[in-house]
Amino acid sequence: MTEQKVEQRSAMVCTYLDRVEALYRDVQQWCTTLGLIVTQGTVELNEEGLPRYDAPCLHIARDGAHIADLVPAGASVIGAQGRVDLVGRIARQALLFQIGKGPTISKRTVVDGKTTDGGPERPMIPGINGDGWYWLEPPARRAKHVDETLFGDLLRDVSDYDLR
Amino acid sequence: MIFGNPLQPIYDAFVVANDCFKVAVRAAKGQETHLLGRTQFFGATSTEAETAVLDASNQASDLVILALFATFERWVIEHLQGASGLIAGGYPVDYSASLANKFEKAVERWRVEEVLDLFKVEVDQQLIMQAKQIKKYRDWIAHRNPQKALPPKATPEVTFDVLSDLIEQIRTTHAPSPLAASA
Repeated sequence: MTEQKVEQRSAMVCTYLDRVEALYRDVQQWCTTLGLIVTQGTVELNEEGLPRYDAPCLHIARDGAHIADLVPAGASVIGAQGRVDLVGRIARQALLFQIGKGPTISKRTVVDGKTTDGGPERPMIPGINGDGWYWLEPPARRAKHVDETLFGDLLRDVSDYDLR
Repeated sequence: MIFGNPLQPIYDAFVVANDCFKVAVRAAKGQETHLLGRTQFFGATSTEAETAVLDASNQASDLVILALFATFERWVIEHLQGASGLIAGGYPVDYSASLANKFEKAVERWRVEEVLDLFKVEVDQQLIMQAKQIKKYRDWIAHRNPQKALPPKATPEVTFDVLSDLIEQIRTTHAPSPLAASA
């Protein structure tokens, strides 16, 4: 592997870890509002084409009862720029980092058997508007930006824990 | 949503299965015996029920990716086999019929990565690349060698979107134009 490629891949990991840290800062704040205790741990990731690296994970609990974990799932994911999983006692939800409008699709048309450019690109996943962490709503597959309200909903969903 | 998407029933079943997992764990926690008869949740503790459901939910997420890709692969093969009609219309007739027959059988054994390259011109290149990555992740799920590094991961939602968009683009660009059909 060339030195340039190694640098690019290390930069990819650093960017991912910065994004994960930013998410965790928000989560810490949201969890404090909900009266939850957050502790940090570490997991090792081994992704194809990237050096092995340690990434932080979060354990969320209340009154000694474990509620959920935020587990980094990788910098290299399909259709996004990184992934963190919210894993509770009964379910797992994937949070995906997206940039701009997210992945786009260009349309082609065939006229007289010849392929031509079919016009402007369209977003592959609706609902992405700006850099940030998103969750894909399963039936509609529409992206929703992860904010305090959505995070609380997802926490209830994965843990079946009454957060009131 | 695309009309007649062969992947839709698989994805819908996955979403329903996940809903059922949640309902099951709620019923098990309350030990609502009229709901739990003849299931493994009858008499199970909350922790046992939660562990069983989380394991099943993780398995379902992996299995739906296997199922979506297998169905997509079958659809692509059948689409290619449709081209045997063009070969069969050649000259001489018997030779063309044999060639078409051989083509139809050979297509079944083509590597899907190479098949996807056939659509490179008419279909968005990003979609083709993502479909190849999904194939790689599908293989990783199927063999699950802990010694091997994890390829780029896919979620069921993104897998469904990428493969559905590919089917839609192939269908749209490969449909004969009305002008050509009437000529």
